[in-house]
Amino acid sequence: MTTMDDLNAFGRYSGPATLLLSSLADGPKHGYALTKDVEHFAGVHLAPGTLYAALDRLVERGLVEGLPVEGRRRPYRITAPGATALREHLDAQRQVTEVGLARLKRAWGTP
Amino acid sequence: MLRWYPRLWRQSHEEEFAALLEDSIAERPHSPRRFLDVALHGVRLRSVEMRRAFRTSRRRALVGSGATLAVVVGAIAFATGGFGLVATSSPSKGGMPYEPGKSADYSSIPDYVAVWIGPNKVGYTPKAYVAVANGSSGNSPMGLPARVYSSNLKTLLGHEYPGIGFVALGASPWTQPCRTETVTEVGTSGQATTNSIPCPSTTIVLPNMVGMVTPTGVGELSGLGVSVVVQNVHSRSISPGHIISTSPGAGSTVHARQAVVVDISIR
Repeated sequence: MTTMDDLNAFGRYSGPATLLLSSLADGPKHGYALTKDVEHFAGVHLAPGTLYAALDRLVERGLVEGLPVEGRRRPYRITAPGATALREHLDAQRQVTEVGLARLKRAWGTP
Repeated sequence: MLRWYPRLWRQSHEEEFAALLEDSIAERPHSPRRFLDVALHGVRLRSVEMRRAFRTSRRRALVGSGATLAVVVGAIAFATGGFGLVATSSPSKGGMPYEPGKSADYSSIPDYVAVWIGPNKVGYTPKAYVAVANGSSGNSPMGLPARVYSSNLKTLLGHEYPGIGFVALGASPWTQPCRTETVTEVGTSGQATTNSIPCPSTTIVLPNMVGMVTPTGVGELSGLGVSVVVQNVHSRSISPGHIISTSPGAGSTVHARQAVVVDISIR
């Protein structure tokens, strides 16, 4: 069973893992499509080594699965447990975001 | 570069990782950051493998670590010699008539346009891939650049389209799509002019392209002789880079050189 801690347990790969799951949430993609998509929506560039290290971990934990190779490239797809883990993680992140922004507003004013 | 990675990993990942590296290199040929990133992860995986081996057999582990050390030393020596590790061949053929990012009248765009990734011209692609005819919204028909991933271009570069071959810039095998009806326009002086581009008598039955990978499907349609117009559509059921539908649909009879709209899924 997936818990909220799952993505945090990724250590240095939790950032990339969240980005990859968010990218896959709307459909399967292969490595390069993942790279470009994350660049477009998050402005983060994931180099190939980092990308595959995070992807391997996600597959290991059943949050992502690899589909058959097409044209030398393998698309990856998010699984149901993966979607759950992502939702829980993002909900937790949103809470932190909201608290942080509210406190800044109170103490430091709105920019 | 892949040799840093353990053999076991390469058995399952080599092909896809190599493809990703090629796409990445095509976009940015020299990247020390990518080089270090790939090296670091390869070495890290090897060290994990080594630690496991150490628990099972000390001698084998020492041999393995010696091999890893040699690989790392060799890699550093290679790196200090220069970074461009993989050469990609990029055909370049003449000036670029259409600049991505700037609007252009769709009909004035040549059927095959040069494609740039960063500062490099990497090849040619049918205009349907990089510009979309925007007639449906009622605005002026300006071409809009469509997002094209490098991995798509790799399958298009040097691709032999049936009946077309590899088309040089500006030489389009198809002039205009034909119209089945004659169009009569009345000018300001009241004079009527009739325009018609008669269709060839040959007709084609459109094959079913749903779910096909875009370059394959579009290439096949072009080979049949129809004029392809590609529209990008967001789809939840069809993955990016694949064809969602054609209009007219599969099984329809069309005249050769008739315009066929192909909806492709895009992120």
